[in-house]
Amino acid sequence: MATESANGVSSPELNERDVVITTNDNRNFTVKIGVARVSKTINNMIQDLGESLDLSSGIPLPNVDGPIFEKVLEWCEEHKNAPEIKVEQDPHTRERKWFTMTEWEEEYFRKFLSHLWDLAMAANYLEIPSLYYYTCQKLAERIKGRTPEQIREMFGIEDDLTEEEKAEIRRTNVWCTY
Amino acid sequence: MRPRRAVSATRLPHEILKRVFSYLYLRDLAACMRVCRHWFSVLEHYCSPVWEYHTRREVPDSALSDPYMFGELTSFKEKLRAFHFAWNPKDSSRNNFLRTNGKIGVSTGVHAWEIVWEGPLGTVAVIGVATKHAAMQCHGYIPLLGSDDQSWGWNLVDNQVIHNGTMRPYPGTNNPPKYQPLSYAYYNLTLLVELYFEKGSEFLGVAFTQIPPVKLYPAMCAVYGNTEITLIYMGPTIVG
Repeated sequence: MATESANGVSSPELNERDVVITTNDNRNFTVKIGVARVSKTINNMIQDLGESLDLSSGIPLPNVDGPIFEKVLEWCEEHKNAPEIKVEQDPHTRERKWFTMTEWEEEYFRKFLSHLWDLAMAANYLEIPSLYYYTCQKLAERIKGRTPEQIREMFGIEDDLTEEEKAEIRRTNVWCTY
Repeated sequence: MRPRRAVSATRLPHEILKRVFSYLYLRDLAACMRVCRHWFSVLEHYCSPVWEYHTRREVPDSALSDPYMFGELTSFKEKLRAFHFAWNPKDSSRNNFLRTNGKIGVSTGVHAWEIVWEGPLGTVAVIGVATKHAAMQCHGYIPLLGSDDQSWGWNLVDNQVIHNGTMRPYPGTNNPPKYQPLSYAYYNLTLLVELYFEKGSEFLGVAFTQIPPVKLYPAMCAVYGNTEITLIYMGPTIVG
């Protein structure tokens, strides 16, 4: 059953149809299926429901709230026809290659800089590899070269380690800084 | 719409933090560990995928698959740490007086290195510690390590400890066994304010006292052509 209906759902006409998605704060978003399925989680739900999919009654997303889903949808709209991204390693340095972002993507992250952790969580749950990997890379970019104090301040993290604990962690990991 | 506060970074799933951390270098990871308890908990596990990723990136495959190299170090973080403390290839003599120093020096605390001497000892075989100012090359078959005031060495061939050119028998027992050339030898070099050696788990007594609190690097000195010496940092140890 899954394969037949899945084939049916993949048709281009269906991508143009609307689906209603309900976030955990009971907001309804009417989205083109072609955009919504950038999320593998939503795509799987659409495929699983197959013929029985009632496009008007909506797909519930219990783990994402409206304001974040709005931002995620902006990404999906821009990336609806984008090819799957690949995580690659440089064969010489064995470092993970950093993704090169487009002007649009750079602007997107500049706009939502204070929501990077939410975006990473949502993208992880919704299985949107491009958004997930790019957001994590952005977060790493922000952490790079900063002191623990600066990192805490930037992300509003409470300092819950004692001075002794911090000194001990520093002492036993000092080799990392060479 | 109600104003929304960004999600607290202290509630983030480990999976996401691990992914972010794998983009960072060790220097940044050292900072991340001190950010908060939650972040530390992601990095404190010595076998975390983050450490695995960095170990595979930095340490050559041949070293990782070598059954002897990291024999007693099972976790990725320990292997990576050992690799960081290993011989520095840039710091050695260019002729056949091979003398190399570790990449990382230590100045306080108790640290142990395991030294495996594979192959003949030759006429000169010295292990010990040196400051970064110690001489690196010389002419003739003489034990370089211990020849100046910047290094402290133990010549395994004639059981003498040397510092600033002065020799003294070590270990201090009557007729200590000479080590058989042409065999494997395991030495544990342990440093605190005093330098002492262990052979296997046998404590050989304090070799040097009054070592100044300057940064010291593990060092060795050999003259025999085919000697292979392995240095493995075992971590800061507890005296007991």
